[in-house]
Order: sequence, then C-alpha cells, then structure tokens
Amino acid sequence: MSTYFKYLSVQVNITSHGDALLYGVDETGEYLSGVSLKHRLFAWHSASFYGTELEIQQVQDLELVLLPAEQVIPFFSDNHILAHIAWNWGELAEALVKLAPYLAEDIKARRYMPSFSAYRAGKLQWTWDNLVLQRQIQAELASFDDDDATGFLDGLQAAFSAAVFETWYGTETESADLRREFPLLFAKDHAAVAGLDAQTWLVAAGWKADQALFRPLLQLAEPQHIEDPWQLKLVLQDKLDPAVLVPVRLSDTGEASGAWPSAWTAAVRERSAGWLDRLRACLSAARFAGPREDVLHSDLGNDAAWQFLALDSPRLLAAGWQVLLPAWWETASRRKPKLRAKVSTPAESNGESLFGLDSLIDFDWRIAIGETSLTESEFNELVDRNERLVRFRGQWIALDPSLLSQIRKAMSGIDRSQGLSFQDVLQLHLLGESDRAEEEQLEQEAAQEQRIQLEVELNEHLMKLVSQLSQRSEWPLLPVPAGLKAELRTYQQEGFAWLSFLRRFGLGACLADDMGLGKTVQLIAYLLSLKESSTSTETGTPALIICPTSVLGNWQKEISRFAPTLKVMLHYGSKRLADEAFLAESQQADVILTSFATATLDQELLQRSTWSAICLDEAQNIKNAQTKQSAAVRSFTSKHRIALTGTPIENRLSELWSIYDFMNPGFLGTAHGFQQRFGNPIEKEHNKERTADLQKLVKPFMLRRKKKDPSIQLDLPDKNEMKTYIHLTAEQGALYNQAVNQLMDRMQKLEGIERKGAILSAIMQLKQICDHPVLLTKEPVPGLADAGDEELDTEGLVSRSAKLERLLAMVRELRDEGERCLIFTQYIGMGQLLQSVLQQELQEPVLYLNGSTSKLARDRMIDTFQSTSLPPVEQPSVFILSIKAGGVGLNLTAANHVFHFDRWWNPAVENQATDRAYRMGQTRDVQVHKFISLGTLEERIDEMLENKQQLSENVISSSEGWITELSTEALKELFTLRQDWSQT
Amino acid sequence: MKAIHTMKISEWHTVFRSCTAVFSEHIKNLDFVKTALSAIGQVKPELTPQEELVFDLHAHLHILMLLVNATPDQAPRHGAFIGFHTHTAISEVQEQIASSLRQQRAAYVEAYCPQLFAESVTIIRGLMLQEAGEKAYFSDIYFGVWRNWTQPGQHGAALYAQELQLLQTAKDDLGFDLSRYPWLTAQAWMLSFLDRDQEALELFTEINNSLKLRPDDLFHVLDAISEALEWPRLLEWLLGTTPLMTGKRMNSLDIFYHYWDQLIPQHSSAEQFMWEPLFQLSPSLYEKKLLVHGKWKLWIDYQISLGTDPFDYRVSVFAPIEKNEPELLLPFYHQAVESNVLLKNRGGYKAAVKLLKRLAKLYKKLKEEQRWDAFIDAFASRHSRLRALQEELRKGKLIT
Repeated sequence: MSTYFKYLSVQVNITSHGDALLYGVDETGEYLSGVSLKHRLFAWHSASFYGTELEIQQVQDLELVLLPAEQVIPFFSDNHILAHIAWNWGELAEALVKLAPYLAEDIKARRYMPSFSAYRAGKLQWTWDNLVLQRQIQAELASFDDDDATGFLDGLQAAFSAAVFETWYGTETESADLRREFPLLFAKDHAAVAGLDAQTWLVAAGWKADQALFRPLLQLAEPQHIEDPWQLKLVLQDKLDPAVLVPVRLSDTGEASGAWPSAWTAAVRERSAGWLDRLRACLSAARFAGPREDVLHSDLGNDAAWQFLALDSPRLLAAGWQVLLPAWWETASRRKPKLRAKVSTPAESNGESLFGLDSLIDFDWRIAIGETSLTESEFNELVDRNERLVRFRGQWIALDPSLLSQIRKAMSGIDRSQGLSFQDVLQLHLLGESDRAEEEQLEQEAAQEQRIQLEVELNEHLMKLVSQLSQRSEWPLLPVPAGLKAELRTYQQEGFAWLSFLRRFGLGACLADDMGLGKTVQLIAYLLSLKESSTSTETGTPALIICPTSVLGNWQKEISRFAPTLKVMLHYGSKRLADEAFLAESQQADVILTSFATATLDQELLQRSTWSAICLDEAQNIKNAQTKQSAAVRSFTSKHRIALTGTPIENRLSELWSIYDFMNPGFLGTAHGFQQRFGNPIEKEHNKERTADLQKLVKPFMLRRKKKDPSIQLDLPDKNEMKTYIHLTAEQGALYNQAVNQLMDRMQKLEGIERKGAILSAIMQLKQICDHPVLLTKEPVPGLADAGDEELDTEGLVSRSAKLERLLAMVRELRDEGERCLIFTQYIGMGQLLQSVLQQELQEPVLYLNGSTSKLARDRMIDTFQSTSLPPVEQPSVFILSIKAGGVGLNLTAANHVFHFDRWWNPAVENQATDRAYRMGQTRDVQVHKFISLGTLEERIDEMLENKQQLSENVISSSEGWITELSTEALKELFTLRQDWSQT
Repeated sequence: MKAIHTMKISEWHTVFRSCTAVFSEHIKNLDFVKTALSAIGQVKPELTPQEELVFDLHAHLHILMLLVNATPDQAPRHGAFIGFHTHTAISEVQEQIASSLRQQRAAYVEAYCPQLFAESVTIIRGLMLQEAGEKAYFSDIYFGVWRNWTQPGQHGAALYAQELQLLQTAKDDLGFDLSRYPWLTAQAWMLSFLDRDQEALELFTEINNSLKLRPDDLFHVLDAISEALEWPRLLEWLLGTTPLMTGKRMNSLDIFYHYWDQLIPQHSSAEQFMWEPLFQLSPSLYEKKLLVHGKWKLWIDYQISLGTDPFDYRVSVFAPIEKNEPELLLPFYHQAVESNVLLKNRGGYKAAVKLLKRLAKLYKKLKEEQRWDAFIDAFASRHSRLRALQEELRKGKLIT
C-alpha cells in the first residue's frame, strides 16, 4: 500500500567545488526536465526557496539541477522530501543520503578542522575531524571504482567545507573573528610551512593545543651600552611560568644545545631541526652568519636591528613564531614625527602688544617624535647621522627618511625670522584641535602614507586669548556705559562686551542675532563706550555706520534715544558735505551715518579717514563681493570692523566670505581659494570635514543668538514692542506738505463744526500719505486685485512708500525663519495693496480680513491661518486685518509678529488688536512693530503718547476728536513736516 | 368479518385488497396512495400503539405491492414498466415506512406483539427473497423491521439465530424462485446482528465477489453500528469492507468515508489506516479528506507531487492552511511563480505577480520580512531582462 503518484529516480554527482548536480528519470525512463525535478525534489527545501532559486545547467540533452555546495549536506541529511512520490536514489546519491546526516552532525558539533593539504595548495578548507566517520566513508566508497570514489570524496570535502563556512563563519563578524583568532590560517607564506606536518601546523595555527611544555621564541636584545651591538637569540619559554626563558644555541645542522629542564629534552630534540628550517624560511641569510654551533649568534648593527624590528618580525609572526621585542618598539614604530611651531613667550607680556590678525608672532621650531621633543638643531644633528634607528637621550627613535625630508622642507618653507602671523597661528590652532582626536585613531590604523603636519604650540598668553575667543563664558564683562539710556538685557550686555573684547585685538566681529533681539542697541552701547573710554592722547576719530537708505532715520532716532550724548552726523542726500567741509565736520562728530549707496559714491572721500570703527548694518548688502558697493566698503580703513546682519549667513558661503573678508581681510583667503577649499566641497559634495573646519574658523568671530534659545527666551519679554521709524519719500513729503498747507489755509476761514471737519479730514489724508501715496491720489493701480491679467508692478509701488519697503523686508525676514505675522491697517485700500504686493513678492497666499468679510469666510480664514497641517504652497502666513475687524473673538496665536502699519492713537484699541496674537495659547514671544513716519504727525503724536504730557486717559478716546480741540498753533506744530529726514 | 385484531396478517391483506380494489384502475400516483391509505384507514380498528405500527406497515406494504405489481406469493414481474408518477408514489410510501420504523415505540413491537412480528417477518421475507432485478423494494423493509422492531440482547439473539435458520430453509422452499442476492444479504445482516462480524464480513465479501454488493446494503449495517456508537467495531467493519468499495460509485464512496469521518474524532488511532486504501480507491477523495482532517502538509505535498496550479483552487480552500500553517503555502506558491514566469508571456507574468503578492503577505504574517526582501531583490535582478515582468512587478508594487 502506498500513496505514491510517481516513481522517480535521482542521480547525483558532486563537483570538485562541492556543488551537487542532479538529474531525474521517471517510470518510463524519460529524463525529467530540470524544473520538474527541482520542484519535486526540493519542494520542502526552504534554503533554495523550494527549488525555485536553483540553477539548471544544460549538458547536451540533459538538464541538471545545481545545488550549491553549502546546501548539499544540509539537504541530504534532512532528507525532507515529498511523501507522494517514491524516490529512488542512484548509487552516489544513496551514499550521500547515508553519509550526510553524520557529516551534518559533525558540523553542528564543530568536529571539523582546517585541511592542511588544502592550505598547502593555497586555500582554506575545512574537513571532518572524525576518524570513525572517515572509515565509514571509505567503506561506503569501496564499492565505487577509483575515479568515481576520489571524485566523490573531493566533492564531499568541498561540500562539507562550504557548509562549515556557511554555518559557523557566515556573517561578517564571525569571519572577522576567525581571521583574528587564527591569523596563520590566512597567511600567504606557504613556503614557511614547508617542513611541517599536519599536526604541527594545526598546533602552530592555534587550532590544536600544543602538548609541549614550552614554546620557542625569538628574542631581540637591545644593547646595554651605546656602542654594543644588538643580539638575536632563540629562547624557550616555559608555558607554566612565562618568566622562565632558556636560551638555546642552534647549530647549522639543526641541533639544539642549552640548559633546559630534562622533561623538555625529547620534544626539543624532535623539533629543533624544524625550527631551523622555518627560521631560514623567514629570515634573511645574514642572520645566520654566526659560528657553526650557534648560527644565530651574530652582531647586529642599528640598521640590521631596525630591519629585524620593522620587517622580519612581522614575517615571523605571520609564520606563527612568537617574537620578543623591546617594549618601546610597539609605540615607537607608530608615532609620526610632528613639526611644531612653538610660540615664544615675550619678555614683557602686555596684552596690547597684539593687535590685528596681521601682527606677527615669534616662534621656534620643535620636532616631536613619540615622547621626545627636539629642537631644530638637535633634529638636524640626528638626521645627519643618517641612521634608521638612533639613540637619543636614552631612548631609541625610529627615523623614516621620507618623513624627515618632508619636515626639512616644511621648515625651510617658513621663514622664521618673520614669524607667523596671528592669523596663521589662529587658523592652525583652530583647525588643529580637531585633528588631535582623529590622530589616535589614525595611529592605530598604521597608515601607510605618512604626511607631515604642522602644529602650533601656543604660549600661555595666547592660549588664554584663544580660549576666550571660543568660549563665551570666558569673556570679560564690561560695565554698561553711563550715557546709555536703556536697560540692557543680559544677552545684550554680553554682546556689547564681546564686541569690545574683539576690538582689543583688532579682530573683526559679526553680530548676527535674530530680528528683534536688539542689535542696534548693542552697537550703540559699543559706540558709546568707545566715546567714553577714548583717552585724551587719542585723537577721537568718529565711527562710521553704513546702512541701507531705509533705515537711516531709524538709526538716527535710536541713537538719539539711547545715547543722546553721541554726536551724529548724517552724510546723505544731495546737500551733504563734501571734501574739506566734510572732513572738518566729521572730526566733531562721534558717529557718521551714511548709506551704502552714498558710501559707494563718496568712496574716495571716506577713504581718507581712518575710522575708529566701521559698522555695516544689514551687512548682507555686500554679500556679492564683486559689486562696487562691496569693494568700496572693503576699501575703507578703520581700527575695527563690525558687521550686523539678521540673516543666517553660515548657509550662504559666498556671502559668508564677503562679510568675513570685510571684517578680517584675508582671513578666509582669496575668494577663489575659498571656493576651492570650502565652497565646492561643502555645497556640492557635502563634505563633513570641511564643513566642520569652516565652522571652527568662523565661530570665534560671529555671535548669533536666536529667539528660540531658552536662555534668550528668559530675557525677552513675552510681548516685545518696538518702534520702527520710517522716513517719507520725496513724493510723500511733497504731498504731505501740500496737504498741511491746504489745511492751514482753510483753518483761517473756518469755524466750529466746519473747522473740526476740516481737521479730521486732513488727519485722514496725512495718515494716508504716510502709508502710501496712491491712497490719496486714488490712481488706478494695474494688477491690483480685480484688475485681472496684468502683472502688479510691485517694485514701483514699493519704492513709493518707505513703510511698504520696510514692511516687505521685515516680513521676508520672518518668513525665512518660518514664522507668521499679522498686519493691522485702517485703510481698505492699503489692505488691498498690501495683500497684492505681499502675495506677489512672497509667492504665497496672504489673507485679508475687513468689515466686509462674511462670517463664513472669516472663520475659514482663521482656520487656515491657525492650521499646521496644510502644505506650504497653501499655507497663509501673513494675515492683514483692519484694526476694527481685528476686534472681537479672533484667535490668531499662530502669529508671533504683529505690525501696526498705521497707528490708532488709543493704546487700548491697539493693544486689543495686538492681543489677537498675544494671548493664552501663544507659546512664543510676540514681537510688535509699530511703524512711525519720521517728521510727521505720527511721530509727534507718538511722542505725546509716550510722555503722557498733554493728554490724560479721559481725553484719549477711541476717536481722534481730541485733536480737533487743539489750537491752531498747536495743530501747526503737530502737522508740520520736519524736513531733516526726507530726501530731496 | 371477524375482528381484525383476531385475524392473521395475511387476512389483513385480503381486507386491504378489497378496500383498494375499487381504485385498481386508477393511475398509481400519490393521490392513489392517499386514497388507498384512507380507504384502509376506514377499516382500521382500535389497536395498541405497537399493533398500530404493524398495521400501518402492512397497509403501506400492501400499497407498495400494488405499486410495484407484486403479490405476496409472486414476485414482481420483470421488466414491468413503472411510470414516473408511480416512482414518486413509491418513494413516498418508502419514506412513510422508514419514518414509521424510526419511531421510538417501534422498538417494542416484537416484545409486545411477537405473533404479529413473526407473521410480518414471514411475509416480508417471502417478498424479499423473490425479488429480483435492479430495484429491491422489500429488502430495506426487511432490514428495517428487524433492526427497529427488535432489541439486541439474549432474546434478540435467539430471534436472529432463528431467522438465520429460516433463511437457510427458505432456500429449499423457494427453489429456483429464490433470489440469491437478497438471500445472502439477509444472512449477512443476521450475522451482523448476532455480532458474528467475521462471518458477516466474509459473507459480504463473497457477495461482492460473485454478485457485486450494493453499497447501501452494507451501509445499513454500518449505520446501525455507528448509531450504536460502537467505534472499535465500526473500525473493524470499515477496515474489512474497504476492499469491497473498489469500483463503486463516488456517491457510495462519499457515504462510506463519511463513516470514517465520524469514527476518527472518536477513535483517533483509526486515522492511520484510512489513508493508503483511500488513496488507492480515489485519489481525489483522498485529497478532499486531507483537507477535512486538517492534513495540510500532506495536502500541499499532494499538490506538488501531482503538479497542480494554485489557481486551480479557490482562495477559500487555502484559508484554513493560511490560518493554521501558513508556511506550507510557500513552496506551492513559489514554484507556481517560477512555472508561470517560464511561460514567458504577459498572462504568466500577471499570474506570477498575483502569487508573489500572496507570498509577500505570507512572509509578513510569518514575520520574515527580511527573508522576503532578500528573495524579491534576487528575483527581480535574476529576471531583470524580462521587461514585461518588470513592468508587472512595478504595477503590483513589489519593486520600485
């Protein structure tokens, strides 16, 4: 009884590589197709994915299934085959089926060993370590004819070996472990084993334990006195007591003589000839130049000793010999010589002797090899001896000629009489720090190619200075200048102190705090301290501030606010001073304020003075090194250079170079060199090393605090209100004046209600002019909202209103940081204009909510603005609101910037609007910016509100009616445009 | 007419004849049966429950005889045509008889009315032994009466033994009119009632060898044994009668192996004996039973040995394997993938991709995603030249 569908016969052959080739025959005597056989036979064989991954080889008409060597034994020992087919094994297959289980068991039980015969043939192969099994196999093969039998045996060995590799050395780690534990198995030097037999070799390789009580070692003894030669000796070490070393003399016939314990004698006699053979195979003939009874006894000079240490001993180790070398050799051989520039300690160490990166520093050469440090002369003396192994100060030193020549070259390359520049020293030190960490690792890897590195060893003074540069905690804190009319926050005080500290050494600085953290006030504090600390011996030269045109007014305002004692001279506009007049005036001032454009135009003029400091505001304006502006600015001389910028420049490398080149000329090399060394590797190849190097170089000279910094957060108020002063454009000024004059005229003639009406309408006009001229002129603006196809001329529009220009710049900055903002304005027209311009410039949706927005639309707007899950293309981050509509029930906490484009002069109303963003649910600080047009009624009323002078709470109501109560003179004073600021 | 309960049963039949003579020309259909039964019902006296059963049986018997054109002392005419409606009527009558026999109170008939029992048996025996031809109407009734109206036990055994004797002598009585098949079968039945299983089995074997056993006749016995929950005995019978099932129709095989299905849960060691003979009898039934008994591995083994394609089966067939031993499906699917790819046409590739998807799910279920990833990578690169296959693989989201 059976449950067989078919009767199939299978024939198997094993190749010399251990692969099995199978073919099958069905009941009718027809050959089975390869696919058919492999599916049937390997149906339960998961290793080959049930036969599907096995290859089929075509030999004439026959299809053979190939079972890879490592799968052969496991498959046949499992013998997990289909139950519904009756399998009939061919002769060899039968033998395989019988033997496989035993072999599999041996593999599992690790009863295998490396095959000596295979090793001699140059391969590492495993064979079974089981005599019983061996006999069994022989018995099984007895019935085959000789050729088949040997072929089968070879194949079986190969299959066994493959299975062992797969099972026990299949992973990276396991294979690496094998290499590590039994290096001899992988040795290429097969000649060295010529005299051995299998057992000895196994013992030598460490596979089998050596039964002898001792082991032979080769010892290199260093000379006691300087003139003595080195000695090479064969010694026997007692395994139980490694300290016991018995020297042995080896004759040229391989006989050993010495005083060893009698128990060892038999083993010694047996093996000594073998030792001689093996040694001859590993060492050069010169080593055996000794007398006949003791061939190894010859004198070795330093060079011969070096050769033994560096070349012969690795060979011996590879051949399985143990070698005793002087203890210091290991470390000495690996140490690369280092060339150091040791900065000299000046006789009088006063901190002021160093100024600017160009100042030169004296140094001496030091060459360090291992633990020893040599002076230049000592080094030269040593090299002249022309030996590879020299004794110096009681220590042996290994000298590599190629390295030595490199050192010589490096030393000659730098002219010591000149000294190193501070810049060089700084760079070497900053970059050198990282290398030290990598050094240890490299040493362990014993790099083939040895390159000399120049290091710098700083003296104490410089160490302190450099550490101060890099560590914030080390900066000396300066007292805040007395004339400063502001409370500096902690970080601002640190910033100001840092600027001053860098000034002491003439090192340029870049202050790159986030927008809103108060860079202006920090710089003002610095300028004030300059003024306050300048001694009478120093002729006070003013500081030069260069900034974009749109912030000139802001600077003036801020300086007068925070440091009224600073005398500011504005060098701008067609009426500005020239030549001699300028020079004379400027000497009287503390600070000269000019714009980038003006600085470029008046380059020659400004070059004539050496400024006490040059500060660039919005330094990214010189980011393009090739522009005239950029070149002009870099041509000015000053004692100190500071760059202020709000944008992160670390990510824009060309910008970085330009600014740094302004701050510390030459520090980052030439533009071209910089591009090669850092630009391409970092930006294109994302080379981490170079990125790290650049950061190290750049870091000491840049101070960047972010709003998100927890320590800064503590300092920041939750609601940070700032005023941004804007001046009017010429067009706006003209319109403004016109409106004021018209009003003054009418005022003469009107009374009562009419007067009030005229005043109120004038106020409205003036405010509109301050916002943007088109609000008043009511000209149609192409491209605005409903105009359809036409492109909006944003540039034209923006240039007509300074407020708009400033707003755009600030919104751009905060969008770069990924933040959101609210903009409040009273005028619908302005709101629309803002929406269109911002939308086009930012290329993202901008929301506008006013009184005419339906509730549904309003809710939707709020939801989208507050959302965090929309894709960036759809996410609106700017929300314009009319100040009235921004009133009730809105929660816009997603914004953390609020702009009041125009003012509503009731603080309560303004605060309520601001509070749309600043309220419960707001997790970050809120920056509130109030735009004030300089010289206009906006500024006047703001001052009045600040001073709370003429107005009391009751008077300021939500309407502006109280203004109408003012007298004509008061009104005139209120409205008249103060002309110092605007352009003409 | 004398009181019916004093009559002999043969006299009842005379009465029945007269009741139904009126309808003799009617078409022999269901209506006829109804009418005849109600006519006989008119003359039915007050009887004890058991007597009533006997009465009903004979009433039906009478009608049956009419339907098949038989008489108590004469076998039905060979080759007499029986129309469609009549067949329906016959079935109905047989049904009613069978249901009457199954009633609980039937078990006490012999006990309470031994005389009536004996007379009934005589009549039915006579009818049965003279029956020849394809259809045997009276054997079933004979068996049913013996099985349901008597109780096993000492008394029962005596009855069976006596019957055995009577059967033997009936041969002499009837001579050439004796139908050999029912005669032997009846004896086998009696032997089975007497628990003389070995003899019964030998007799059944002889019947099968010479006359071709009707499986139903064997199933009567198996039914009785399984109903009595005599599992070891059932095993003996099943083992002994398996050879007899050679060449029988699939329906019969189904029923026969259903007895095995019932036996195995009760007597697990029985299972090992079932498979090989079943394989010989009907590989396809063997295959079905592998699934019934949850022999997933053997089932897959079967498929691969035979060389079937997974698409030959509905997915629902694989569902229990997927639930219990999902790894068994791997060889089946993997090999089918390879075979389909070898077709080197789009249809084959589509099929292969479908299977690969199933495989992906299985590997995920088995938490061997790494192995799957290694496989699919190797697979994709091995067949990198087959553009259409690569397309299908990408469509199926198996590779990127």
